[in-house]
Amino acid sequence: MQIKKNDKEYDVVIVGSGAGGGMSARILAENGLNVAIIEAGPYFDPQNKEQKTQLRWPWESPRRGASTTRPFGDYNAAFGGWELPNEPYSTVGDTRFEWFRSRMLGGRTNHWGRISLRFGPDDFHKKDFDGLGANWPITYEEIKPYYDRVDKMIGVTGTNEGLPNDPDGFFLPPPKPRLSELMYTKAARKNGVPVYPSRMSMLTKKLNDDRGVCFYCAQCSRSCAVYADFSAGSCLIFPAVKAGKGQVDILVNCMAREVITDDTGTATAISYVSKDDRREYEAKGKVIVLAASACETARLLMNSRMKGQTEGLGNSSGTLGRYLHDSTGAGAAAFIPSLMDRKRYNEDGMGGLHVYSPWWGDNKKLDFPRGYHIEMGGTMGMPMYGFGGGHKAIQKILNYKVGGYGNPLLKEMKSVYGAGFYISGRGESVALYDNYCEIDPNSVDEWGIPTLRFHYKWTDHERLQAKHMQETFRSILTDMGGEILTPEYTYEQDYGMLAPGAIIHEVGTARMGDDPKESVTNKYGRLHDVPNVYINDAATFSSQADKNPTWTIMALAMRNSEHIVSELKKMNI
Amino acid sequence: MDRRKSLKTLLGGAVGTALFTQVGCKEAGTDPVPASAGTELETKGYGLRTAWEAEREERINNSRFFSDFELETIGVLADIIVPAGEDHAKATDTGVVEFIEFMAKDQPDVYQTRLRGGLAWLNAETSQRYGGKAFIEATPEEQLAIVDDIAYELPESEAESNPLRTGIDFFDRLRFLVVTGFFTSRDGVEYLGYMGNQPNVWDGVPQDVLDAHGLQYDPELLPKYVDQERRTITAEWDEQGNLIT
Repeated sequence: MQIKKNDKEYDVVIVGSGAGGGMSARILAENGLNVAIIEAGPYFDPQNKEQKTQLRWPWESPRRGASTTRPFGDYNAAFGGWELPNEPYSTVGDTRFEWFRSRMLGGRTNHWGRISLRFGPDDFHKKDFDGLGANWPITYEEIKPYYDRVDKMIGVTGTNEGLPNDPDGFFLPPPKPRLSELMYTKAARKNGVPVYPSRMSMLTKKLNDDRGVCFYCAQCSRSCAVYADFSAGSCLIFPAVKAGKGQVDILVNCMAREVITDDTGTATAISYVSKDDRREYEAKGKVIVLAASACETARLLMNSRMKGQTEGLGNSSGTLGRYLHDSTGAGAAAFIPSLMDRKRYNEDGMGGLHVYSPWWGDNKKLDFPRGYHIEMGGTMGMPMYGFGGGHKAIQKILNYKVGGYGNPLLKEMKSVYGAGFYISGRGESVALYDNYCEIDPNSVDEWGIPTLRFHYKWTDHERLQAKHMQETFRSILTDMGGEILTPEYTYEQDYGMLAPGAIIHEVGTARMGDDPKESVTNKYGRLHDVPNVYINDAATFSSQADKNPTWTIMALAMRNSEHIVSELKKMNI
Repeated sequence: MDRRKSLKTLLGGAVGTALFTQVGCKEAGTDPVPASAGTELETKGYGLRTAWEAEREERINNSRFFSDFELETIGVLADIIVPAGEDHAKATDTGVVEFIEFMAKDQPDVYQTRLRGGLAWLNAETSQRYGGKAFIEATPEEQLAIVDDIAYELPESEAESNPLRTGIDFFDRLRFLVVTGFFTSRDGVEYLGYMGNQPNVWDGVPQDVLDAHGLQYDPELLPKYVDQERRTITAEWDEQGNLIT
């Protein structure tokens, strides 16, 4: 049910409808609680024919899929990007930080890569290994039951391998690798890099009666119309509404402004502006759950004022907004001559990689802390805007005359189709006090809400990791018979590492911890300062692992939500 | 197993039926949906645009950038870059000119001045060489003589000083738009041989392709991959996480 305004008091008001907000809504509603979800963007259901972009052809877009208005192209299911009209943010000094926001029901889960990795036992106490950052106040063993339930509830491909820091789970069977992935596997193993079937949240096998099975169109980034991939709307919010145990009201196009508190220091409501009429409303709740994304949640708290607190709600520790960190990301691409003139067949497959490489290194023998996992790919994929743009580089490799026109040129392009391959790393950065976001005193967005400004610098921890990625990837690509297209980057160029924020794994702005002087929430995501406010997104991450954050966001949101249910029953809230 | 029969079995269940209905296929359980079948006829537009995207697009569609003369010139060049072949249409029959007009308005900073300036350069060059003619008034031989001069990258030693540099840069940019426009058209996709964008059941690389590349699936892993015969059976696990269905 979608509504605009109301005077009733909900059991829980949730800000945000992505992985954290969606899981919270589902768990809370399944326990009979009445919840409101406040979402800044429009309603979105990939099954709606007016909305869906899945299975559309490039010529149906007047820009042939170009990324003019959406960073990942016209058909990508993210209503947003690193820049949003009239919702600015700023950076300080030589900070490079890019903040990706997707304003829609389900948020960034509609377009994400679906690489679904649990954190491992070591990932919860990395400080014990290298003295850097902070340990989590929880262990893998405490979270494991929730990961298990997420696996069974959402569905994830994979194989149980008994790896020490890449735990087993309840996996759906993975699809067979594609041709280039078999070539990668061979070359990677030759380089001492392990390769396993990928762990992706797509249904290769039936999971329940509400969701279809993957039909291998490779378009998960468009959000699946038969719900065969994980998107928060399809897999969490719609089932929560359908179950009908607790009421779920979805307030779309509503931009949360602040958490309202009373004189006793208890949160009572979320105030928000309706984007449709630009008026201000409140949604009252016994409990407030913030799941607006790490930076948006921090912003909301900083913009909330309570008696006696001038630095934002829940910020008596002074760590709110601090320890912001994103995954590292660097990559290399190659042209593989042995893949020229390929026999044509449909190799779309799942939306993304069928194999992956978890971190294999021993940091004691390396000059950087923390590791990375490897993603890769190269297929005879759907041509989109940009097709043919790299052809001159290939002509140089093949010693063809560079340029040209007419049917000889077309034949060349046809001949090299599907012969490109990329490898990229996604690694763990070290959370630092000095990498942070704060309110920019000089700026508001079009809703009158003060905006964020960012302070963020990579250090040699990350740079040397990126260097290791480049060396590893170039070696593997060469062993695949590839001619490398990516330039050799220098130290000054961060070895090709992307700006923080570019990988869209930002976490840590309201980290959890046992010590209220050093952290914003306790181990259940509950604010140390305001007991009826919880954070169920990646803001609470004490550290990022070399894994994508989504599976952990959902496991923690599940755990935190059940804690809320239990605390409400015990009348502790 | 017979491939068609296999697909019929695999996609013929309840999920398969729903799936085929949704993509507008004729009926469940026949051949895989042919590559020409898509969703384009089902609804107008190309999926939900946000309000600002829709407003922006309306502004673009209500404006005009290139003149008829410029568009005609682009068309002649486009058909030189992608002429009709035995197995494909020429560029102007695949919507490439309309695409280029759209892109000039969609990414004005990238394209407008460079394309318009390049067209003017081309006409000036043609006029000087061929007695005052515009490019489209030149004979096909004269047009190709100019194109041959600007269609190839200069050696690095000449890159800065060559007087044709402006024309070469222009042709490079236009060639990108024409080629990308062609390969993203229905005709171009067919010419290229892209066979996806349709519901199917991936069951690995064809054996003859594996053989040609000297590769094979790891026999130890084969039992772990999805058994597509059992894809519609609901997943269940034992307590250790072993799939039992």
